[in-house]
Amino acid sequence: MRRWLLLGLLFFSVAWAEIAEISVVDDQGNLVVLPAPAQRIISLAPNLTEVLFYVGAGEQIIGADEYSNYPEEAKSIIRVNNHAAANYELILSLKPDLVVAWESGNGEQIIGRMKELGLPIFVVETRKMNAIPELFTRLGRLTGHDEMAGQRAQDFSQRLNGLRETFGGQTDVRVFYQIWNDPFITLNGEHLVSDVIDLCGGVNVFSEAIPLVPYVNIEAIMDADPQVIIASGSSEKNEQWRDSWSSWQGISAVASGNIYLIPPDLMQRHSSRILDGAEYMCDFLHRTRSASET
Amino acid sequence: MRRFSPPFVIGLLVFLLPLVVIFAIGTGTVNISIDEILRAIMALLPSGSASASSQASTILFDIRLPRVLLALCLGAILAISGAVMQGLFRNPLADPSLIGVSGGASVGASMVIVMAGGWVQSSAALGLSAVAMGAFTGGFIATILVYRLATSNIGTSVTTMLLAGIAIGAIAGALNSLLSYFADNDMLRQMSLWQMGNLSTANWSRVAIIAAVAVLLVGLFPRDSRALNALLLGESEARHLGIDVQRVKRRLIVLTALGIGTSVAMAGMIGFVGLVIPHAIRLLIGPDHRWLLPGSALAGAILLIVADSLARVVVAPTELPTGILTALLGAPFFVALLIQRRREI
Repeated sequence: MRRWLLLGLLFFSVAWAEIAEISVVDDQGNLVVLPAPAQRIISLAPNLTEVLFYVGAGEQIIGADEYSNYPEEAKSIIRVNNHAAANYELILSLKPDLVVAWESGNGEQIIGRMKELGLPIFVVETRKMNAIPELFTRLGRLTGHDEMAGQRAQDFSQRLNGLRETFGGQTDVRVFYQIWNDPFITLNGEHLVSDVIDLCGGVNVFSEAIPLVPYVNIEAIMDADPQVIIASGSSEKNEQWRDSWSSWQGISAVASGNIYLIPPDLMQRHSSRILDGAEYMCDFLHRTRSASET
Repeated sequence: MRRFSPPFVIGLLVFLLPLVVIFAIGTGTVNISIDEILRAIMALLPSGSASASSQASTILFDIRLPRVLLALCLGAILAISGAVMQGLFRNPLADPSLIGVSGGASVGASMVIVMAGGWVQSSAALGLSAVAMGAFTGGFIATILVYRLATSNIGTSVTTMLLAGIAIGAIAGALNSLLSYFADNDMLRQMSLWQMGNLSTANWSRVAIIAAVAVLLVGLFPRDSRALNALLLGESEARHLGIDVQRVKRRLIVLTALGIGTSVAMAGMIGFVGLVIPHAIRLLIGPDHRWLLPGSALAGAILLIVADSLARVVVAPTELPTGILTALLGAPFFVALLIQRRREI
């Protein structure tokens, strides 16, 4: 229903594009109104830079955060902020006509300051896979790339539905998603990654935890007894984390050797590439499932 | 304020410690019945015929026991070092960070994290990561620096040492911020986690190291109790009482640096215990170091064990940072003691 509504809205807006100003609601519920498609965009987070490039607005980005490293062209954009601070002077001097920010990544301090400075800001917070195609169309709309964004959104939805149909209905697999191993840090059910686990027919063993990014101890992991451990975070660089599991043979995933790695940039950046991460995830869960069924 | 008799308080603490240890071993995400605990213990005995479920014994002996022992040793080391520092500097705000060891340790750790990059986690010896080694080295270097700055040919000036400690602490803070500026995502997380303090990575090799240090400190510090008591009168008075003040100072500072350096290396920064526990015990039983030192060690161990057990279970299956609970549990008790004392002055 929602998708049809959106599609309807899309057609409607395309028809009116020439005469009406652009108005889109962001994830904080604020209406962002632009007189014309944004030509000078500042992206405050790497996932948003990726999406902007993906919908064809990469050329219009005039400033980005320090971590925007994909695609290759993003590396040469002027850096305006990092995890801790933003260079407001530089941002103002670039004369942006749109700032896109990531709510939980940039924080209210930076976002609030942008608003105080009177910059038009579009705030994004993605918690569900279904929200990603919508994000494409909204950013496409703001940047004047409706057509390409619509196409991208459709492709994304198609691939997503493909995965959901193939893996969603299968036997549940208990998953521990490790973003750090010393101490153990995972993600709860609110997080987008948990939605990916769900999509692939898995159950995040810590989905009920209160914090979005909970710290857990080895005892709680033993108690939850995951059938598969999916690691991300810094684990990419060194393989030592894998050995550290070997002393806990009481955990099903360890005993059966179902410990896998998904590159964090594919899984923890809420952009188009998360589908690649989701394919890894579905594949790993499927391997675990088949191994335990035979 | 009416003080309690020191032997009574110490006796009470000695009685409480094993109870707290048992409580802590019995607490956790997984419910393990007393029956099962007993069976697991019996299974350890060579003659034992009883067998326990392997999960229960893994949880008890490989997860909970090392962690509880780590908390015990850390609490004791932090509190007794705090008591010694307050006595030596005759300053109620003195805590182990004053001699620069904590600041130095955090810079040491950050440096290893940033400079060594990905190599860090792959080099672990004795359960000690390169980061822990960095912390220990950093702590020791900072202490030596502070001590050298404050020592001239007429001896070590306590005032200069306090000020030097503050200066070194400021430099350490600046270096830390500078390093975090150059750190990437992973390094940043590693640095901030490390600075928060954490006991969840306890294992037997870490326990062995920290226990050795704890035994050393708890064994050696009380031998200087009388010297510390004399120092309360003032340095020249202590000298006239026949105490080799310079040697006592050097010994106490080296031991404190060793203790705090090791504990910071094992579990990161854990505040509060070293500052407040000695005060609380002093309010209860008076300033005589012969009782104050063992009392602080016991109370520090108890507080850290209880706080860490609660940190494990209040939001189970997830964890709270232990530091939050040490302050939440300890501070109200300390405030109550202060109010009581004020009323009686």
